[in-house]
Amino acid sequence: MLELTRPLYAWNVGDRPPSDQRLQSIAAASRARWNLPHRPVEVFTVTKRTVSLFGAFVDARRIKQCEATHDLHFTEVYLRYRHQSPKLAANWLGEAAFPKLGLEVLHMKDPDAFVISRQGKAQRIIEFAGAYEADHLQAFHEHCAGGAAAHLSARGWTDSDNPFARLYSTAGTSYELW
Amino acid sequence: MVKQPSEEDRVVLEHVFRYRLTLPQILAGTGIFSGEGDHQAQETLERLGCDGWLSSAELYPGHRPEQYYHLSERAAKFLGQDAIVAQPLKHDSRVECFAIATFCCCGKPFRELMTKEEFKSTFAKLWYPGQPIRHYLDKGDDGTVRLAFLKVDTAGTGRWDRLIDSCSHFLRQRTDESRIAKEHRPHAREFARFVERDQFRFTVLTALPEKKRAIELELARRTLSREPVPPITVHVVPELFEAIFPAPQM
Repeated sequence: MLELTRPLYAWNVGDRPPSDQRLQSIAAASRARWNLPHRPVEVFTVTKRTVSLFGAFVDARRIKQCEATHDLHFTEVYLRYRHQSPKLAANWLGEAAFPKLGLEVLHMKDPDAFVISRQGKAQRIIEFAGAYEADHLQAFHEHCAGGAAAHLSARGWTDSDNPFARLYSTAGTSYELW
Repeated sequence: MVKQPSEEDRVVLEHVFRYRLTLPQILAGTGIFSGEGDHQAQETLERLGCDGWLSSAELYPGHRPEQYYHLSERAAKFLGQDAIVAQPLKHDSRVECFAIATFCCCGKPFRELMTKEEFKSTFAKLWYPGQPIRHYLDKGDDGTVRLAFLKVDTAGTGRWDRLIDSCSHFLRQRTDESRIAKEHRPHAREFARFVERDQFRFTVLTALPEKKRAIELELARRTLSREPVPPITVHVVPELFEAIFPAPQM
């Protein structure tokens, strides 16, 4: 397993967008880390019954190896939050806690996790950038930096009573890429 | 000679009949006893058990020892009810009755589950034979009183959002006249009007706040996507978790 000590990149609302060069360097760093030697790891996953108990918007199918690698490392990010920022971790909601908006709204993405405010607004988006290419990183940045709110608005989802529209700010949402 | 129950004992037996089971903390929540309700509820249940009016059975068989009380055959006869209500409950019924009794009696406000006879006399135009009666009158946040049907989420292995679909199915089964015997169609029409006038709701009882949130989000998603959405209110009954997943015996 990779030791994840800090994000590859963090963007805050008001920051300048990452340059092409910066996106290339993040993409290179995300790919390079998988060149290290690796070995099999035993993991435990939830059953269909646990999915049902929590009402997770995922199924409990046998996941592909790359998905398991992603989920295992993303769990490590969550545990790091629990250790270093327990208050933020307490407001952590993973992708499985939301319907797949990508299936509902054109061009919408479903990030790995959100840190949510009491009012239901995303304070931070957290994504594990397995081995993303620069164009994927650019699309993710646009999603967080106001694109998501624009896509929801184009779908007519702007009402403050709408829990999905409330999630994203038109000014953008800070994010971390791990 | 069998000692006859007092008037207060009769009220307790009627409570057990209404919810099919009870425990001291559930009986205490009804307000039948004033003051030290828990202690008095415990004593009353033990005494009615000793006198043969109540029987007890394991709430979590094979797990942590805790007894629930149900009517004895003698009590069923005393209340003029069929002996079937004096049987120990099978797993699914036990979990569901426990969740409903806990929600109704230990929550605020107190909710009184209707008996079949009460439903038949109060909603004569809606009732026809063969329907489950798990209704109570629910006072919403807006002060409106609606007829509510209780559904207990026992977290099965199927897709959890089918719980919402099962509520839609319940409504279709009772409002679509083509699915209903001719003699019951006037009741179905009346129920359809009831639903249209927003006088009916499902109350779903679930074990975890995460599940409540997920159901509410899915309802919001379906509403926004203009899919049919049954009227559902979700409540968390934390005690339901152990009823579904009992702790191992220590």
